[in-house]
Amino acid sequence: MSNEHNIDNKIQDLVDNLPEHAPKRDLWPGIEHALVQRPKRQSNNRGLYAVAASICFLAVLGFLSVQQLPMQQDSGALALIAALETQHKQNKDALLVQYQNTATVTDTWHTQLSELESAAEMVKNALNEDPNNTALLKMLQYIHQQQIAVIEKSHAKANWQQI
Amino acid sequence: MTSTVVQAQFGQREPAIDMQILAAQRGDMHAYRNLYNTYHKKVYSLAYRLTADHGMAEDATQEVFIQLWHKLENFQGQSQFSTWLHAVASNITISYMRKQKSWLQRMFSQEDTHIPEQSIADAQYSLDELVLRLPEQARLVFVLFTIEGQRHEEIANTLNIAVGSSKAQLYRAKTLLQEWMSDE
Repeated sequence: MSNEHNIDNKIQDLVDNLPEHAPKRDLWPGIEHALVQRPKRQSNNRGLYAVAASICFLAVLGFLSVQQLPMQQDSGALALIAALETQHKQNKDALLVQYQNTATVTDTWHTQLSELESAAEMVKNALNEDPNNTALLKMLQYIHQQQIAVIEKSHAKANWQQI
Repeated sequence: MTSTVVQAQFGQREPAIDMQILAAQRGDMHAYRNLYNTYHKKVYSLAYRLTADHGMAEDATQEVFIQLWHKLENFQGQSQFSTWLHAVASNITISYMRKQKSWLQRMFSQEDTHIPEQSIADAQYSLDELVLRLPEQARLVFVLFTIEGQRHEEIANTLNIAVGSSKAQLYRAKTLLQEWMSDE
């Protein structure tokens, strides 16, 4: 046992003092040549994984977008229509309040306004079915403008006549 | 014991080396050459003890530094660079040896024990020379365990042998060395 221990110690002493060897030829040119032939791949596997992950992410995102796009577009268009309607109603009400004590040239403006309102309702119903139809949207805006124009023109003439 | 051997051989961590490693990781070839200049003798010495052949050791050293360039980004600084480099170098060298030698050659060389005709008492044999005369499997285990400080589990994994075989080969190596050294 003691002899074995002594040998172990002796080996360890020798191991601790092992010399360093040097190659007999210059190895660097060969290494450099190989590295130039096979340039460093900065990305390596992690880069490949990152690219693969990005592609997967974009694919999933694209799939979800395609799935949700019509729904999002529909809800967005309906919200826009509702906003236009609200704004138009506020403008119209404000004008009616403004002109409530003003005489008008003719009583037909109510009829014209009512007809335009009916037309607007029809267009809104059509837009509910096809919210992304820009032609219908423009038509609704045109009807709104006509309603405002009817109110203004009829009361404006009355104002001028009063003067 | 063994880790201190590696530390003694490779020294403590140096900021200048860390900077070279960082630069080389970013693709700086000049910094990589500086690392080569610092460590190539250590790597060559390891390769020489594993292969027991100067020519193979030179080729294996080149292979180590070629592969190391691509593996360098895996070094995260959790251990000493020299320790990490030694583990990488020993793995690459052993893989290189496997590629170079046919299965048949390996079978013969494993049992090919070169017993020195003279004893160590003549002081003509250094430990290195005796280690090179060990049978290949015993030499590999001895170098990895006693000089490189690897555990039997790591060695068994690297050499694709059982842990028990690794221990048996170490015992065989020590017995042979003891025999040669006690011839005096």
